[in-house]
Amino acid sequence: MAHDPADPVRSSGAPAPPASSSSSPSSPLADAIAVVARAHAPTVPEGLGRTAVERASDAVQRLDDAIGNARASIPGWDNLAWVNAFARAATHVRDALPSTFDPLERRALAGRLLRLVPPALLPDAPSASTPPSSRLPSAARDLAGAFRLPDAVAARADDDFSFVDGDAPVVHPSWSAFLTHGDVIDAALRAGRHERLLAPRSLSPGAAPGAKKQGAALLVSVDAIAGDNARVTIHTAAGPTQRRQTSDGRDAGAAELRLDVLSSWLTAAGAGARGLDLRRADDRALLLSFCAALRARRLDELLARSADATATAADPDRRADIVEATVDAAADAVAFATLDPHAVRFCLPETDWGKEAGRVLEATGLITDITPRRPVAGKARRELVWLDAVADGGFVGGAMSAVQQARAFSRLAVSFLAPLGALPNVSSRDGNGVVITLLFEDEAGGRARGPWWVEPASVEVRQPLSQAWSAGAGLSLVEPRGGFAHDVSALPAWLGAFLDTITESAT
Amino acid sequence: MRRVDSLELKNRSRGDAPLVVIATRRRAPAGDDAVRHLQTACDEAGVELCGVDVDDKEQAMSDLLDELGVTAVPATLLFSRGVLVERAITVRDVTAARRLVGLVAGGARAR
Repeated sequence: MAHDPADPVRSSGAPAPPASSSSSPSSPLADAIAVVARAHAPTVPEGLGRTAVERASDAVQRLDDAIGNARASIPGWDNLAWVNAFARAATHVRDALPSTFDPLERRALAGRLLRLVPPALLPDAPSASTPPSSRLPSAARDLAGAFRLPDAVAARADDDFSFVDGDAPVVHPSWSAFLTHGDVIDAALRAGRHERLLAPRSLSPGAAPGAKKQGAALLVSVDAIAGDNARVTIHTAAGPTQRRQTSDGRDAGAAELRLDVLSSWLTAAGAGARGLDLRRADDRALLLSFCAALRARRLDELLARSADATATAADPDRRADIVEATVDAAADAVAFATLDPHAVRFCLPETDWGKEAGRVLEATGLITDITPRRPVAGKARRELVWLDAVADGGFVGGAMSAVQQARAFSRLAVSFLAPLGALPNVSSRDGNGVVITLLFEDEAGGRARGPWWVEPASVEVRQPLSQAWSAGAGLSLVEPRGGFAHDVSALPAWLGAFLDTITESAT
Repeated sequence: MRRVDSLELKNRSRGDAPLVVIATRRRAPAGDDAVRHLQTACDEAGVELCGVDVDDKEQAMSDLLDELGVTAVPATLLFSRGVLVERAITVRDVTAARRLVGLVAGGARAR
């Protein structure tokens, strides 16, 4: 049955009501005029007269209702039904967006939409067409706690995240003072005083990591030192070796390296290293979130006490454990508060329901099509990005690419972690992560732990660099020459000045 | 927008001048829109926009895109003094393009 486009309830076969009480008896022309007049009659938008806050609040209320209904009525395996629920909710969001200027409100709307994205359609999930009973646990990030600013930080939004008394974390000088000891680096380079050290690929090109030997650095450990040279063991995926290898696999002699080369890799900061810029609200919110993470994990209390009191002779590594936990707090402060739009895109299969889901999502007006650079043969599918249409960019807005997430972490690391001995190397060409090597001291002098690959956008935020290389991440590090280097002995003074800046700017 | 090969991209990305690169695929409508928006924003900011084709047969280009972490198309790469400042996958409109280019445009104005 055909329907009247001006009145979808009434079929075109039914008589139209009169345009007005004074209209002449019905005629085809009068009917047509009446229909057109109704279609073009000025209408008063429903939301007019209410404040933006009220409209946004209504949108949130409608979203919460939609989420509640969806959870109560849609089975977990019915991906198309979830997509339909997402699309209905997205329509409410789209209507609310023009009047929602506050980045935190937009973040709240995006966070609610996120709860309607079926996990099976996320990029890291197993195939959406796999029967639910045989589906493996999803590798996709658990989104339940994702994309949330700590409440204490969100409450500061109206004050532009400005600092107040007590915001600056208290760090006892002993956590940093050991870096001024002149031989801390030299001691860490001695045999048995480090886990692994970075070395240039040119030492043994045949041992470069990665499936195609594309790694730009190697992992080594020092066996012995003779003068300015170190005899090293190269740690490859195939196992440790003390022999160098040319790119075509020939033996090139014993693995030896100058100590100053090892030292320059250990203290390399990378050309991308920048500290926090506290003039920017985004960086203030980032620092406040990090401080909230320190408090939540009780690390603030430990850092306020003397480091020497925490590391006893029976447990010399405890000091390093605490700094390691501080690194994790910094990475999590970024990872939990922000999301990469690419990481939560819809990946729809090339099936009938996948195509229908694509049409439904397209109608929301919030999605953008992207294609994988290397499509998997026989697995044609549609990929749709939506998060950045709702949430703003930056730390406060929450929609940040993997590169921006890594840069946010690196700013925290340069300003706060490096003076504690967790030295960041921000030189990865793909920009996805930061290499951290932890320098600390025990009764025998300097030691080094790591290096680790810290990638806030990844499911596993911090992992040993060798493990990251095996998974194809963090391979493209840049040679330290020409880049910035950590002036290790100056870092304690830098930390003091940085914390003073926060205290002085507190209102 | 000028198409560049892997060698030129490598050299230009390490230079002092800020650079915006868009990796696209032929017959990808979303890529066409992104190019148009970025070209407008780059012209306004005085920043150069270069293009690369992800389906380029050159092995060196494929390796370079791997190194730069390009996994989706279109991808917009922003370089400042050899550092990858941003890798964005969507450029929804000119406003978004201006915001992106603004991340590196400061260097262009300062020169």
